[in-house]
Amino acid sequence: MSKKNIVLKSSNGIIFEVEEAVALQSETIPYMIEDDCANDTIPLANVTGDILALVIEYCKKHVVVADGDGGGSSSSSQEDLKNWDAQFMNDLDQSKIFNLLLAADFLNIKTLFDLTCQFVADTMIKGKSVEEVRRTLNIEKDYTSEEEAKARQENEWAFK
Amino acid sequence: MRTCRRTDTAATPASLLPETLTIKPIVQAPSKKTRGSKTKKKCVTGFWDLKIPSELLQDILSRLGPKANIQASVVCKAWFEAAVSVRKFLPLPWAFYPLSQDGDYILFDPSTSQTHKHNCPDLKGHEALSGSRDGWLLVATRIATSNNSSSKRPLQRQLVVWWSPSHKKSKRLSFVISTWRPGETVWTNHRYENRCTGVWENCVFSNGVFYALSKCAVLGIFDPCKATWDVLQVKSWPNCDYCQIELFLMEHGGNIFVLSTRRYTYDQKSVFKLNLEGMIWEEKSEICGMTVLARYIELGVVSLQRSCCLSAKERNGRCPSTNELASLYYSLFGEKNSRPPTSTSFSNRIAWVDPPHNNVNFWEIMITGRRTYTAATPASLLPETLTIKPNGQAPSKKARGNHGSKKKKKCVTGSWDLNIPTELLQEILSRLGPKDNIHASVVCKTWFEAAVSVRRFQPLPWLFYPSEEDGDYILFNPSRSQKYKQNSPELKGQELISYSRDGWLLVVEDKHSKSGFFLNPFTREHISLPNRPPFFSGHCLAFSAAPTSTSCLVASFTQKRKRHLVIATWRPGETKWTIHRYPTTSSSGRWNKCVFSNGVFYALSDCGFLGVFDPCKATWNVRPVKPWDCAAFCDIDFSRSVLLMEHDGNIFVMSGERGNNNRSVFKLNQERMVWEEKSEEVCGLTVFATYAASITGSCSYPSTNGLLSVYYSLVDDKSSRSPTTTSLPHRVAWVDPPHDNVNL
Repeated sequence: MSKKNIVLKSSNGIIFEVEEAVALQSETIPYMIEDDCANDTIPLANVTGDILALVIEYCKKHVVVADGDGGGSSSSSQEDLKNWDAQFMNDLDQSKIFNLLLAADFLNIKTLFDLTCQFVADTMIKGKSVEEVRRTLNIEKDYTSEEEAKARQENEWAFK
Repeated sequence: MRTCRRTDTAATPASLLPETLTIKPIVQAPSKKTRGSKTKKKCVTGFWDLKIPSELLQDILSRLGPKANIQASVVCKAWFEAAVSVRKFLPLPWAFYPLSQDGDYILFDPSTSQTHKHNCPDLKGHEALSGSRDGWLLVATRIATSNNSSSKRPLQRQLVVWWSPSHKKSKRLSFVISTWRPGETVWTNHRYENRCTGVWENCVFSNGVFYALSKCAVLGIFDPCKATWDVLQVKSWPNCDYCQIELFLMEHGGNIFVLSTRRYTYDQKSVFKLNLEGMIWEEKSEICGMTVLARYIELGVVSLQRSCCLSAKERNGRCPSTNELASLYYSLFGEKNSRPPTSTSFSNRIAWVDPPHNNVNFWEIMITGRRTYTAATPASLLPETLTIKPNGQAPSKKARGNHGSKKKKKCVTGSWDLNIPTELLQEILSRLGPKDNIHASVVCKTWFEAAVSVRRFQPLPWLFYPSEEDGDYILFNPSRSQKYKQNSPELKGQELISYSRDGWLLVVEDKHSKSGFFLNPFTREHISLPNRPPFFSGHCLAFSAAPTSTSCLVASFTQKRKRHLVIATWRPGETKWTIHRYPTTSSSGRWNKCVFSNGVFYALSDCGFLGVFDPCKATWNVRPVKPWDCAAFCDIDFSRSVLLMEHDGNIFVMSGERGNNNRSVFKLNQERMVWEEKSEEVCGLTVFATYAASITGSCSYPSTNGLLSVYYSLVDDKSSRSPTTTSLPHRVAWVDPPHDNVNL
């Protein structure tokens, strides 16, 4: 069986060649293949090369191993994947994560999208003070002091 | 195509031919008109794209079929927006077909090509899936064709009374239409004279009436409200030889369509739309881009009946059909464009089902199911995964080198507040607990809006308890501290309130009485349960939904001696309880708490074991969950200080030790099968507890207390603000208020 490769082109022109099974974890790419069957390369206009590299790295890790030897994955490899996911996310900075989230949304890779959302929720927001969140995610405060005080007062208990 | 069919026209009356010829130009004329108007558009520039109000443009474009809509969207940017906004992509229905004879069915999602296995013990191979609509199937068993039907909602695994406006059956000479509505115990028969020749083969429901199509393409209408039956004088389409074709009757967007194909080969497809004004079948190209999901039905043993299934539907998401004309999904015919399964038998056991609007619950069930499977897989796979590991990690390190590490954080502002799409932000914030949600809302204004939009404020439940003076019941609204006196003659002082959900209480009259009932304290409605089975404890009871809902199921857990657990179930409408017996070991203790969540009942034993009863599969499994960390179970006054609760699909346990006010809350992690102490997630939730036999725990927020605040209705807890009745513990309950409590 010959493995079919798919060529993906990032917005800044970087070319990646990946196995079909890797690319097809995205639910968007099959449609693009259908639409542009004449073209060999699939242009991804909203994903830059460095982010696409991350996406592909993730997809390669998560590609379902062909069921030659009984198929499926054991519970420990599930565990491994989880650890790998955690490590993968931990090594990224917030702007990478942001772009990865956009890419996962655009490419419609459900597991990566969930992973990113959950990571942001768990490690960047949960249990953090408001100031910490602003700092980690570089968010400018657009409340006036009075507005912020009012917002805090509404649910005072949460800030004790 | 046409010429082929003309050779077969021997059977059609020749008188129809000239008529159809005159009809043809009428159909074509309007299309010419539209073509003319299109060319006019181009003369005045900026009119149709820039000056036209977008609502008007949307109104216009909403009248186009899918293909035309897509073409229109390429016209210009304004059109693109309008066309996309009115584009109706219905989700593709899923195929539901049997895997084996023993009741294993497969649900196939054609859009993701995923299959999900379902065990349906009530589908044993003799059934026919006769109708499908709104995610429900009508199942007829073979023994008595349509009188003994039950319905199945495979996506939610809830076997309940079906929702289907009525059902219809045909006979040859005196034509009988039988109808039934949920709640009725017998079918209503309507008899009509059958003036047409040919068997009524297809029927479909649309716009409040049922359409039936006979073998000879005669169309009849049954109006269930007026109970009238009319045969419509619709001219048939040209060149149709009824001996040579198969007909499928369909409904889409309120219009009736007929698909005709050549018998056995299923080629030469034509689709006709019923023009009710002109009473003709028109060959309509506007269906182009839609997908017909058809299947074959063989009802009963003797008569062969065929029914088209679902309606014509646009294909999901970004993919309008790739075929020129309506592309067909035949679940059984080896059609080139049919991607669904290829089982060649079981023709009447296949159906297309509309997926539910949110199949979140479904996914959860599937995921947990899969995970328990992986736990059982042999360890022999381990070395493989280990060898895979380095391969996977190597590139990750490279990537890390390329992309820099955490420390490199540059000051890019605006990504997480201004540039992030709202849905993504909501998606992230919806994963936070109430306290973190409130924190997040103070970060900035964008976050405030997103956090508030995903914040779920539930109304505080009300307390229902007997007054000390006269024993009459009082409804207490804790948010306004208001009391309402309710005279409830059916509550005589010996009763036991066993469970509370969706504004309803389950009341067991007393220990010795044989009956119980549902009570809605707000409306004072009263629904009786059938006589209790002899081994009914009245203590460990739960129900899944309000008894007025079709998905209501009551389950009672009774430990019989030490060896057997008896689970009795009852659905509204049934006359007696269904008894299920399961062996248990004495080491698991007594099952004495239960709660309903996500389609199953969870029961907790006084030794900390957790059992799951699935009412659809009628299975009972004791889950291998380690009891939560506590000194000793014998030190816990189990019935009084342990609460089993459900919140947002998760199971929680709150436990306190004897003579100690410290309480810990544990959340069940279904994946790892452990109880986790979750202070962050629970923070801000309120537990509403009563010390009734079966404790009702329901959570709500925001509470005014910092950590978990507890409303104990009967204990003088420092956090309890509720009335201080000290006796009659079984007679107190928290009730969810109705959505509008104007009457009170």
